[in-house]
Amino acid sequence: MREHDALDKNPHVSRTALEALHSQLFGWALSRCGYDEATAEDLMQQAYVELLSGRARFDNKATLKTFVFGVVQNLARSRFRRQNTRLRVIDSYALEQVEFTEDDHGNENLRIVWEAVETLPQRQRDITELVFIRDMTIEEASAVMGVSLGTGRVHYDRAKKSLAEKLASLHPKESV
Amino acid sequence: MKNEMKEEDIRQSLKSAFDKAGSGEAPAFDRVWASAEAAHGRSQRRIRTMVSAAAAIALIAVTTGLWSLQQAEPGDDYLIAEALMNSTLWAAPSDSLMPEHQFDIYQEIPFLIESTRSQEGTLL
Repeated sequence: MREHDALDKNPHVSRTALEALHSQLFGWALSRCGYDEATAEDLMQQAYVELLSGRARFDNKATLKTFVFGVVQNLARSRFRRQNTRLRVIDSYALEQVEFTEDDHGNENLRIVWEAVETLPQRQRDITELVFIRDMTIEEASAVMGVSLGTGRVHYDRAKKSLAEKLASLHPKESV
Repeated sequence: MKNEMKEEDIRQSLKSAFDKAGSGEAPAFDRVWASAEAAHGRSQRRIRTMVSAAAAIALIAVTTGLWSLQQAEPGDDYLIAEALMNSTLWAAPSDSLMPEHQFDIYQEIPFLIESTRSQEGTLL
């Protein structure tokens, strides 16, 4: 059924549905560009243009969330393909941009967690974020990342194992 | 069960860390959407302008072509049967390789070298 505010060139996408995903999508866009808010906003605007123009066409086969996250992922990939060096620089500063004050014990823990995430290879970091933070299934996360389900499972298992080892000190009882 | 607990701990830790990392408020949806619509509109206008320009150029090219066809005199492409039947003009296709081609064999008889020597009553 076509919603009243469905897009002309994307009849299965409505403005209301996109508005509901907006915050989550912004979080994903942020992590795609080293937590630079202006770039993330630009990326989202570009994603919406792709949907408005029908260049990115949702065929209702997957969930809209998976599709829109995939659009942002692809846009970020093509935008930064020729700017890998710049992205690496942004990445290296991302941790510094996130202010974890060491005075506070809670923030110290967060800093340890964040460092553990930062040390993961890119794809493991992506699947970790999609599954743990954006509440996607491994299948959906794999679709967003453009990898097969099998590959997605491998990345997920390795990331989980690696994080469990690195975060063992934060949860000593469970890790024994 | 123990494994599920571990996973939940990881999830909680990560959620807190990611929340802290991406703590910046998402920009207002209406503002981003309005910018996207404006950008889309600009791109549509640009495409329309380019299509109009291409159509105009094509129209001019077709009009000019038709006009020049009308202006052109009927050339050798049209054969008039009567003139063709009365003509004694003939040219071999290979004549085009000669410096001066298309000569009238009835009007311009080429010089033929005749033999004057004979042998047993037959000209050589």
